[in-house]
Amino acid sequence: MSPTFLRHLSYGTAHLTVVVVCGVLFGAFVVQFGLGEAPCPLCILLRMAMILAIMGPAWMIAIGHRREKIDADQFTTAFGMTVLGSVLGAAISIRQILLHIEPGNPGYGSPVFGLHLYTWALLVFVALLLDAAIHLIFVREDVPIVPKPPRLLSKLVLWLFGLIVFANAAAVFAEAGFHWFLPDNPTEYLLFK
Amino acid sequence: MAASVIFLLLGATALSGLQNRRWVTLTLFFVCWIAIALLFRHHVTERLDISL
Repeated sequence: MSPTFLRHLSYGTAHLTVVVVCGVLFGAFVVQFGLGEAPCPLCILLRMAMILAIMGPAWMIAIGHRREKIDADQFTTAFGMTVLGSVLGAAISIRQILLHIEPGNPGYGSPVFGLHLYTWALLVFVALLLDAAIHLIFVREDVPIVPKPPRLLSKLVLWLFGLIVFANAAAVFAEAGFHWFLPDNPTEYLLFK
Repeated sequence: MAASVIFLLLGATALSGLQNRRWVTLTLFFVCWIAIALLFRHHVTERLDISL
């Protein structure tokens, strides 16, 4: 595999990373509104950390969409942002897992495919860390990354990302209303109370 | 409100990424990171009581 091909592949997988994590965040909305389970404060923090973790790849896509060239330092910055966001998210999800780790504890919320959402979140953050590590291992200073996916695809991915951020902001505002902090076990939307 | 403000900050970070302002994006990114960490600290109010 040539270094140029690897650069194209990296830029393509950055799109995939953003789409997959947006899909996970959309799944959280399905549980929230479909099953009627209001997210707890730690669940909201996990959503924030996921958005933070894909901020780097989304930023890189935006640069590629505009400039058709991504320098190695921009590439490493983007995946460094992923590492920082993922470490924070992993710490939050580990805390939430430990809160419910005792035998007999049913956990918070309904399990999805056998695991609770905060356990899935930890798996997502570990996957993001591995993804960032693999990208950073193969970066080469002498080969600029020339975007390969069609511009329309990049635009769609960026719009999806923006939509997910906006939808989360609206949902959490509905849940917390004008209260400064969320209650520990929210059961209703305080904005409409 | 605190969570809403952080989501707005995340939106602002994403929007700054669309402009060609690397240091604004990075500064906002670190502000978001610290804000999320502080909110996490706020919600961690008690020690874990694990006795297996």
